[in-house]
Amino acid sequence: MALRGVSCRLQAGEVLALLGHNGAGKSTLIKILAGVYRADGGEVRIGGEPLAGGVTASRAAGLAVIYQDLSLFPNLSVAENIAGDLAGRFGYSPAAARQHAATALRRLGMEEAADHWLELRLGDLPIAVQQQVAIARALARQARILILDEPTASLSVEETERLLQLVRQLAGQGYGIIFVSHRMAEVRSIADRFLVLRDGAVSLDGSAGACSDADLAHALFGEHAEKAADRSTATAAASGPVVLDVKGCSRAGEFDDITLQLHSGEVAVLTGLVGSGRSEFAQSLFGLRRFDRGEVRLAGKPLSAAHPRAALRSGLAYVPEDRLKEGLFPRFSVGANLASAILDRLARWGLLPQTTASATRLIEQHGIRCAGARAPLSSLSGGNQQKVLLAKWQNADPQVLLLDEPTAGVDVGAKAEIHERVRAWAAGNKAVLAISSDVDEVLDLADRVLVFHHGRLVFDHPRSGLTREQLVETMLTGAAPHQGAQA
Amino acid sequence: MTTTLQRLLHRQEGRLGLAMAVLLIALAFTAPGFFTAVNLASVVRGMGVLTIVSMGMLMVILTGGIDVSVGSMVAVISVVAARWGNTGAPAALVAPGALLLGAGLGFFNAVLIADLRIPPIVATLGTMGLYRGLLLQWTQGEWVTRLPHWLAAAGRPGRFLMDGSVWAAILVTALTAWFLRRTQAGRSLFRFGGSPIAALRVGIAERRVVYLTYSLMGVLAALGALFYAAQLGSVQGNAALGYELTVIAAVVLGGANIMGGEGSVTGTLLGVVLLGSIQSALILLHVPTFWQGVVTGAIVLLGVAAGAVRRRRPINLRALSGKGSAA
Repeated sequence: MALRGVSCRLQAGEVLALLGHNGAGKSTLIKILAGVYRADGGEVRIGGEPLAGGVTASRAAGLAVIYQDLSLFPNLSVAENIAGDLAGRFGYSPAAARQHAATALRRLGMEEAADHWLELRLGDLPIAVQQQVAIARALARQARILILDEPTASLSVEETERLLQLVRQLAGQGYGIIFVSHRMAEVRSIADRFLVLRDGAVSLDGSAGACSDADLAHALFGEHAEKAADRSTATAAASGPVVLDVKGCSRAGEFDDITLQLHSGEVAVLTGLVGSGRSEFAQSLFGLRRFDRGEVRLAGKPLSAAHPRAALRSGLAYVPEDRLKEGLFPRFSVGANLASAILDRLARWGLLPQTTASATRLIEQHGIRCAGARAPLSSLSGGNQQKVLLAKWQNADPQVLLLDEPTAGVDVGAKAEIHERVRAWAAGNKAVLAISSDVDEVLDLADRVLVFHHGRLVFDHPRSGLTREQLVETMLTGAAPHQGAQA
Repeated sequence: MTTTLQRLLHRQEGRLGLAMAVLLIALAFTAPGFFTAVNLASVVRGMGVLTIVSMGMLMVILTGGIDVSVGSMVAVISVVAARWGNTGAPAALVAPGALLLGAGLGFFNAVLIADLRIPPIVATLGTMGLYRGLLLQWTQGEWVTRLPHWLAAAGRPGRFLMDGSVWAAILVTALTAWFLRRTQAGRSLFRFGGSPIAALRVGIAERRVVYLTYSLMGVLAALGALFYAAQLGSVQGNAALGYELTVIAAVVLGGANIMGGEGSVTGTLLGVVLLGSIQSALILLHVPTFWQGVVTGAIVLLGVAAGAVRRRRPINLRALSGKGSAA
């Protein structure tokens, strides 16, 4: 049973934040509202009218879901994506589609798109624009209720701000909005009311003003509430010997003259806006790209980062952002995935030994919740898949771990747990360089914060004393904060 | 600066047109017989059946599917229609009956794909063997050497040296273009092929799309089969063996994305014309017929590879709208 006795109300012009772990029942609730699933009991009323089941009925009643994957058609034009099915019942009129689409885009304040982008192929546009197209599609259908499922998961800080502004504007126009997100700060800044689900039931339903962070944490985690508490006072940076030493590294058009040092026992988090060059820099470190100039030393020895294999052999591992496409083998078992980074070490004469025993040990060590080493990876939740990915690389025992967006799409509970484990691992004389665009994650995970801006390292400072506002300011403007952080 | 040539090369249709021009110029010098009215007319007649069947295949490929049973369907229906017609049954019964049989064979493919959830390539590979095997069992290798007079007449060159297949192909092409561009049902093929999940979420039922597409494929294979028999004058169990390769080659060469969601009637038509011209050129140049399979296969691979490379290029929003703030 995914959902039990959930009741909630949404008023016109209200932003309701829907929160909860992965598996708490958010998706199920959304899918019932959208008509994809049928509720076993209970009813949904929109404007007083009971909602019949089915996708078409939900849409007709004015309910629109903007899924995390957007569910658009990358192969079709912007106009057809927004208003394809409005452009005729049996026939299809491209002119009518363009007209409906332009109207919807103008209502969102996207004059430029309405004038010039209607005929562009959607898949060629940036993800933030595609998301606006998805919202425009909902408006074109006369939706009154918008459900945004983790809309900011793949957006940069700038784009997120713009989206939040748009959501406020829509609420101001009288739309009812349900906003699903894992990022507390975002939710705080936008919600009129919170609805928290835990284990399929409502654990909190209250106005934003009446709910403290502690209330939310308690509703989300129950007895583990204290774990999620803010870490703003923690960690005097452990500064062991320098492990990774980067001097004057540049790559034309991407980043320029980067110099930084990583100490053993330290977790440094590199952040910055999308396009600031941070991911390119990390990939160059690992040998996926090349530096034009500069020198990298790992534990004193020059790193010839010509190829990922060379980087791996000298003790540098890179954990990519997209765990299912680049990091793991979804069709293999958990055990096979855990062993996959150290196959050459395990193999004898090209044959692989049975690895179930060691896999079971790793599963326990890393707190991976699964049905055992033989369970298929795809049967695990996102957070547990991410733990498998981390365990796989920690198992390979590198000196330095590069983590690209280590908790993308992972729920709050698993996120805190992953942060905890990463820090514990680093404490054992290792070093971690993580990349993240999630400000909360930067503040929660880092011993030291590094900020890229337009390809330059503009900020390199211990975490302690840095406030959220200062960090966002630095990311946006590239100017180091005046006080506080200098303490 | 974009020159006219660059703009032309940006579209698959433009590139095909250019390739066509180059090929025709080359033929003018190397194959003197090519540009006679009689030869050109026979080249065009040779494209009629391919055009009809390719329009069906275009629709199937648009949904992200494929139908490798077309060769077998063409064989089954040409033999059934010829034998049935020879019993003295009237054209008004046999021709619609043949189309209905085609729809049935296509619908059977659709049921395998949509209801039994068998991937299209496997489902139609199965029926490719099944349909052909049943046909061979029924005919026992016997040829049908005599056609009913109305069927034979459809394959005889008439006005402008064209036969019935050419007129039918023109009609089918126009109807397909209208269907794909101007009807919601036609657009649903693009939507489903572009993203099946997104299509489901806007209320497009996979089953309906698959039923419709593969049934239409069957009908067009049947229509093609009638003219195929008419043009050859005799049919047998091994008719149209390997025809699916030619049909898929024409559609892919015409710029359709084999992963679904992208393709056009114009492109497919140009693909048919280019492929047809190359094949008749090979004959005129006395290239052994065995090489034709090699050339067709190479064209499929080149077409798919070129498409994959082409689709990797992003565009620049700022440049397009002439202002800042792309997002």
